[in-house]
Amino acid sequence: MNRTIVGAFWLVVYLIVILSPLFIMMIRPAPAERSFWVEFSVGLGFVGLVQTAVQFALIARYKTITAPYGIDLILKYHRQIATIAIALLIAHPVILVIHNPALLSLLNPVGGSMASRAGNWALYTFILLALLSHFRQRIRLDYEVWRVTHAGLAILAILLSHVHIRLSAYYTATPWKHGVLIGISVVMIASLGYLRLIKPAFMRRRPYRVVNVAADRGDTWRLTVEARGHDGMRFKPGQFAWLKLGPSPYSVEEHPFSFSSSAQDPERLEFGIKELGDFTGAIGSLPAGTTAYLDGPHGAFSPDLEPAAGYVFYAGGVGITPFISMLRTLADRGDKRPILLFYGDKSWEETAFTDTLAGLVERLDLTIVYVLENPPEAWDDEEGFIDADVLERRLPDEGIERLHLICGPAPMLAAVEAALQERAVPLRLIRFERFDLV
Amino acid sequence: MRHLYANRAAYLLAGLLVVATALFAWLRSEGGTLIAVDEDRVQDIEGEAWDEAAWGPLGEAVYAAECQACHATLTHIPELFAAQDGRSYLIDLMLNGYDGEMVIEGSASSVEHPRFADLDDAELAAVLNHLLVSWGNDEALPDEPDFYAPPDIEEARDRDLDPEEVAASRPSP
Repeated sequence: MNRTIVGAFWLVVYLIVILSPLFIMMIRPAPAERSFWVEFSVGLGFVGLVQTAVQFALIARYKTITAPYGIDLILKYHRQIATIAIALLIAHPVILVIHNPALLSLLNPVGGSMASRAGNWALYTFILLALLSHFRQRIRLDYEVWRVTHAGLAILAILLSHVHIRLSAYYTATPWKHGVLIGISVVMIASLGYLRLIKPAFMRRRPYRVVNVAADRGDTWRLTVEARGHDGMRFKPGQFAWLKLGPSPYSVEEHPFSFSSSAQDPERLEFGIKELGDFTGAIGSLPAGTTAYLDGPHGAFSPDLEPAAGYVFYAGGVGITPFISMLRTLADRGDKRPILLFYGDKSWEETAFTDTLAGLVERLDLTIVYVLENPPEAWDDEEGFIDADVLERRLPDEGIERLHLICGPAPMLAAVEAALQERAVPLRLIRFERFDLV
Repeated sequence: MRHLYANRAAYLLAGLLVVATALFAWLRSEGGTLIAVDEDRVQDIEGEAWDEAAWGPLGEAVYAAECQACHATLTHIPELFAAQDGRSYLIDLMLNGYDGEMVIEGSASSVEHPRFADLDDAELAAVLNHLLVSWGNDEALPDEPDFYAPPDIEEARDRDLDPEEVAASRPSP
């Protein structure tokens, strides 16, 4: 089905769900009306709570829901909207107290009524959750520990919120309304069960085996896996998958990596992996034959989704990986369209996939512009960063409309976008993929 | 382009949530048409003397919306009602709330009761009368009880007590 229609459908469903408490609270029988600020505060509480519960569905990687937008966007949106939801939840007691300072005592987490205590603890749990996520890297919290804590605190906070609502018992006096509110939370939290139990059960039936781990330059590994007893994974070049290594598909340790192999061969898949942490650091010592499980394909960054007369690719560092997959796929298909690749990295020694790219130049209408921060001596390509000057010199002046695909670290995306705007390339022709997914 | 739209979508959605909540709050506080109790029904009852057929549904509706979540049955109401100043104490409790000790089934505990001054005179009278006649309470009432009427509530609003004062005025049975 058309991506736009599916995307719009899920957006409407989403809006209905997150606004449903407000509609429900207005249906009779409803409790007596109170002043505007009290109702506003309570409304923010309900909307904030449902919004936090919906986060479970956002992160559950339901392909039908995420496909129209791209899961990278959904995860980014998750961070943004969850922060907003917690801000709304904080506003709930703050507005009540400003409106009626006599209620200040209710903010005491060990005083006040049982209802206010539950509310306080729910709010503190939500705030702790947000702080841990925000400062995870700064306090060097292990990624897997954070993930489990994150889900646990979220469930606890939602549970405490429901205790608070039950004890406050204002809007939930009507059983069916209370039921709907609890139902939303239960259904959303059940998404976690889908992600952690049901999905792995399906993944178990489609195992892969590590067949090759090859070192490339720039601390990059090329990990090749082969489908064991099934037809592999059909993906679009530019997409990625969550990779789990080891005998159990239920392990919490998993990381998203872009495919670097051709989409024409779904049974033998290669990933380009940059050594950055514990998981990626151990890739090199992985014995061949190790079992692997894949959750994918995900992502909406692909020339297959956006036909164009030609392409300009902009890769920063390991951001080259999805482009390698795109180029290999297009070469396998015998594609004749012109492609220009800007590939920026620190130095020639750190530039991965150069041998692959050299081979691809023979098979495609492909021009490569290397832009190195510290080029070797006698360098005849570009030096520095991919900026407006480089584009001025190297972008062809032609009659066709090419699509510009950019993948790399955040500062590089911003710089290339600015440079493209300077060159008056319309926004509708620009696509990004951020690499810091989680 | 997806990313640019996504950032805008997040801000747009945050704005939408706040605006929708404000609209909800306005409808609930000022909107009139969407409030708890049928205004027409309240109008019909206003000024009329107690009659279970006419008042019952309103009292029941208010009880379901406001009281039921905390109170299952209130069988001690006739006793309180019949005590010295018990009739007006029950109005004061509803209008001003309660904060203090209360002896429940022989043991004293600290009790807070919310105030329901936002309800109409007719709604409060109806719900109090509902307490008097429900759960077999009517059997325990004095002969020809002085049922509540909206003017009783209107008059009591002027007293404007603290919840602690209400607690202090609780009749001891």
